[in-house]
Amino acid sequence: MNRRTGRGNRWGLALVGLVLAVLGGLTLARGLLGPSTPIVDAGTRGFFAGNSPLVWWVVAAVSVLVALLALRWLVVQGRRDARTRLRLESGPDGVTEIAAGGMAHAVAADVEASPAVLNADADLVGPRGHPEVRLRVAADEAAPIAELSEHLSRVTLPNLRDALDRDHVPAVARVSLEPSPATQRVVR
Amino acid sequence: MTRPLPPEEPEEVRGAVPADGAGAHRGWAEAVPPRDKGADRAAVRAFRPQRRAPAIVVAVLLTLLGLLVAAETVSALVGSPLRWLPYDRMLAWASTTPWSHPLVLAGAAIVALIGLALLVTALVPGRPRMVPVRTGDPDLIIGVRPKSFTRALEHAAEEVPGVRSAHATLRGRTVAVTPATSGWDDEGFGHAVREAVLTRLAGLDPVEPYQVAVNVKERR
Repeated sequence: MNRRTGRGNRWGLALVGLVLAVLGGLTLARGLLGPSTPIVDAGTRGFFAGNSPLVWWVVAAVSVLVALLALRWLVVQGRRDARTRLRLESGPDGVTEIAAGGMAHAVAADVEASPAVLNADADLVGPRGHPEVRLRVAADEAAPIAELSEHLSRVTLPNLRDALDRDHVPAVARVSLEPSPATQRVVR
Repeated sequence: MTRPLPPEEPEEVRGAVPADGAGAHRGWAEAVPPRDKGADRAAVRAFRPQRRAPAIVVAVLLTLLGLLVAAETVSALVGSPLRWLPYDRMLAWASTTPWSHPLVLAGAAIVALIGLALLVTALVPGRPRMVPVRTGDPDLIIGVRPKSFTRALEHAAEEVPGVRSAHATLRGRTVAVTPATSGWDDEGFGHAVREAVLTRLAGLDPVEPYQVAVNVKERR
């Protein structure tokens, strides 16, 4: 998941939708309310003939721009922001980097320490300097969810903040609830 | 046979927890996170649909359209037109067709409707793909899979004596629970199921309040 992609998609769809709605609406209004002249009349021909070839270069430039923007929009859909290395520090003496995979394992193990958690998996994501953590957690169905959120917020995240030396490390957890293996359900 | 409970104000999760709710958690300590409106809002927003499918369709079409127009105009400008589009015929058609031609009007209406549909897709938040739960920590967002959410409530209903099986579905902000029973003690039974589901719901602590509707199904 990438929240920036979601926001960008909504902006892009709104912009294209607005352009189409306005164009369609104006054409409809022109057809229903305006004088019944041909779509391309002498005035239109005169405009294009008078401004040729400049107007065609403008059309070409705009269409290239549209194609490039749309292509970029398409490319960001596949944006995966999982990182392989995290930079902790960079200065004149060099940079400190750690492998994100090892860190993610440590985070997952930390999450699994909660009695409410059956299984956990973590990914470190986000742009350079702003790491975020994505968790997939299978939690015990019988445990109150507060047990899990307490553990994440009081144990896992502070540990991670210390390790990464950051004041804030946002976390998003997707939780599935599984029947706890210890409970025997009675079939009536 | 499906028989709805006697009419009753649907109860919201908060404030409707039975006093003996703690017993349902079998030894789990009750830890209620502090309320944080900002954290709640962020949680709801994080799981909104991303509108990926319509974005991909529109982006592909725009790319193709842009490339086509660019190729046609540039090739004509440098003196060797590609003529992938029959634009002489298109120009002839447009020179003789008035704005009020039914085909033009229909086309314009379709374009306007597509535009409005895209605007709606962009502006309507859409149902979250996860059920956001309360954390009280602005840095921590937790969502429960809807399937897990309803299954947990089904299991809570199934623990009520007399319930053979239960089915729960999410309809907007309402959890519809259908317990199947062999048919005894109608009214009290429905209430017991509701209490059990509400208790479990309070334990899950969703950001958005859910109402519980119980429809008892009798099986003989």
